[in-house]
Amino acid sequence: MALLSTTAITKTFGPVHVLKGIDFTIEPGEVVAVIGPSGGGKSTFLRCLNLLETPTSGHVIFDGEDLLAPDVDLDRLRSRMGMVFQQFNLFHNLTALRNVMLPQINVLGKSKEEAKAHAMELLEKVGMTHRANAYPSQLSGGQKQRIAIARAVAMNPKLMLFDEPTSALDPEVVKDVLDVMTDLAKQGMTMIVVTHEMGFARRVADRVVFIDGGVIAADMPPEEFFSDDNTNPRVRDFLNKVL
Amino acid sequence: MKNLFTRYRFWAALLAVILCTTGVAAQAATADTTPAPAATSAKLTELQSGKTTLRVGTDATFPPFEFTDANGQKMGFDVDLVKALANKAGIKNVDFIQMPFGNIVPALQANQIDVGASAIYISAERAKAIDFSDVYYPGGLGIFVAENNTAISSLADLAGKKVAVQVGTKSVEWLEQNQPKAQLVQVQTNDQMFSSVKLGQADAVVTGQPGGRYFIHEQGGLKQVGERLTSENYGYAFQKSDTAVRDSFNTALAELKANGEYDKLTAQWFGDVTSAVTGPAKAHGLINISSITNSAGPLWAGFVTTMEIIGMSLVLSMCFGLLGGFAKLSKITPIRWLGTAYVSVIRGTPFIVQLFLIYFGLPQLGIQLHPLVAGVFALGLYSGSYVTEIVRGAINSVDKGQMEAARSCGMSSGAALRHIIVPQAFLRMLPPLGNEFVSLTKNSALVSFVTISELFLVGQTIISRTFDALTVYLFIGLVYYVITNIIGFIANTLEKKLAVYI
Repeated sequence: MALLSTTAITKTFGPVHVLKGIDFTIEPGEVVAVIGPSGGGKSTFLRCLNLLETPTSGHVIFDGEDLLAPDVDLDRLRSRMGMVFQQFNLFHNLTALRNVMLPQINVLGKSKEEAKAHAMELLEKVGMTHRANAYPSQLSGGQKQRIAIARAVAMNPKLMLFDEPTSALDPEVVKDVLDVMTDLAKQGMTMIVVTHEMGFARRVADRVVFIDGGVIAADMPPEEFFSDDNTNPRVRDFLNKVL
Repeated sequence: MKNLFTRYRFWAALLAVILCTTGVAAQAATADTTPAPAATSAKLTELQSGKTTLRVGTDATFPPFEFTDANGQKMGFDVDLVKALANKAGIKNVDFIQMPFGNIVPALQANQIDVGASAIYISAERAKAIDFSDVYYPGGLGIFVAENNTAISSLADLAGKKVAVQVGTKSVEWLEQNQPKAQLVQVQTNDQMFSSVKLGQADAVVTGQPGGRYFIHEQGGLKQVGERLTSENYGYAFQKSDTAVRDSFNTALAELKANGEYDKLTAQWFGDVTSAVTGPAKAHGLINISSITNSAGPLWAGFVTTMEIIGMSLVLSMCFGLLGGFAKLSKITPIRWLGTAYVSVIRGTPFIVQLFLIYFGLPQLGIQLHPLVAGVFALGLYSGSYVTEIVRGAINSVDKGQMEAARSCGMSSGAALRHIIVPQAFLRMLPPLGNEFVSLTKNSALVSFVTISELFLVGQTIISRTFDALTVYLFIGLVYYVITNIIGFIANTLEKKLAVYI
């Protein structure tokens, strides 16, 4: 059974139709790269998956539950979906360690000690134990993003959503963050990654979903997508610009 | 003991304020549990035996009749005469109770006091509600001018002249009817009338004859001219049923007049009227530290009251501000509208109007507030409207991504506000909050208008006795300056402490 599926989701902001009916599914353990031109609706699509944006119409089924059902416990479902943002969005008023601890304590009801032990373990994995007590303002972009990933992973989510996680980073630290994401993928995490990193999409993703003009214009394995045999004119046009 | 009392008063007033804010009209609970009035002669017997105490209501802000001296003791002609009369009538214990002038007649009717002694004019209107003693002093309006003034010697001479009068007193209305050509200079306090003549800001003062004579007795520099303009007389007020107590006072008064004690008292408080009309001006330096040091006790009490007012209204202002701020951010339109209306109305009208509406207007709706409650409530309400905008602005200024990150982890919006948004917003609020609380501190002086003996009113009371406006206002200004700077310092320090993560 699919871990998450959407049927015919649309989203309008006033007169602007950003999403025009998106059908999408992802199986457990899959890594999907979502790519496409700016303004095509990639980020809006991703934000509709955990209802940071409420779709104008359509359905989002996650873990067997309809996120748009009136009586759904959205907080509980969101706790099973980690999200990593382009602008990191670490909690400014908390140290790196406390950023990773707070949701565990507040949402999962873990004790301080448990949360701390788990957080330190994850900070170790992302190579950030030496900065555990630093505040976000004292960290570089790459460091912030690795901590943000640790914060999301600390919730033991079934699905991770990445919204252009490397777009705001200096080029020399992009690799650090992509390495962390690659490790996660290797451990079997289900991931949806909106990205402009074509190398990452080609190497790590199981599928590439190409969103343009508010619809999925292509959905295929990366070998096919990046192959010269792919004659979809919108894909060709896009790839010619970015590669 | 004193500490305990102060603290009790603080929390009691705070509680009362909070009750108001939750919509419970806090009725002024000034009534003691007093037994029902005993039969009139029995009451006098009990007073004479010392079993009960004669409760005398007075507003001790009106020298020389009644005022509070540098040590907080009630003094004055009324105080001395009532003690002498009670003594003569064989009444053992007398207790003076401070209350606003306007509360004296209601307090008599409610059996909260036995005698009203506060320079009360005998009037047919009042006599419907209470009984009066015989006249114990002639009052009425008189004209007072500078010692060297020869141009004014009668009511007719006031035409075209600047005449200083106290706002809200009978002089205003009387002159408008009887000498409409006089230009009225309306001032707030008793002493300002006399000062304005001394300083050349006005040509004459029209005020109660005893007050004018007292000023001349104390300060000199002025003289009374012409006949007294009106013929009101002062009497002591009693409960309607208390004929025995009232009669005992009348008998005692006649005896004191006969044995010369009464004349001694009038000479002591009003001076020998014939010679004191042109008494020599007292030597006065520019700055008299003694004006402050002699009144250290009342000034300290006033300072403590001011700090209590600031503390309580600050808490209330934060409550209103948080409620208002979150109301303005609410997704529910009527609540948002309420927040907007609150800010719009309160910021769009003068504080003094709001204060007077609460203290003088609400009683017409049956809501009688203790002055301290009214003052603190008004200050909190007013300041809260500014805090509302500070709260709203600060919360809006927190990056939207903070809320999104919290929600995407599964945190509720309440938890996100508590742990993430509000702590960040609070830091941004501190500088504007510091400014707002400095404003609140300065505005607190305005609650003196509703008879709260805070620092400013104590200062005015001292000036009404010493006529040393320069020293006292300079000193009081200095105290406020120190308070506001301490608030600024606290806000700055707190900001630095909390800003570790910036």
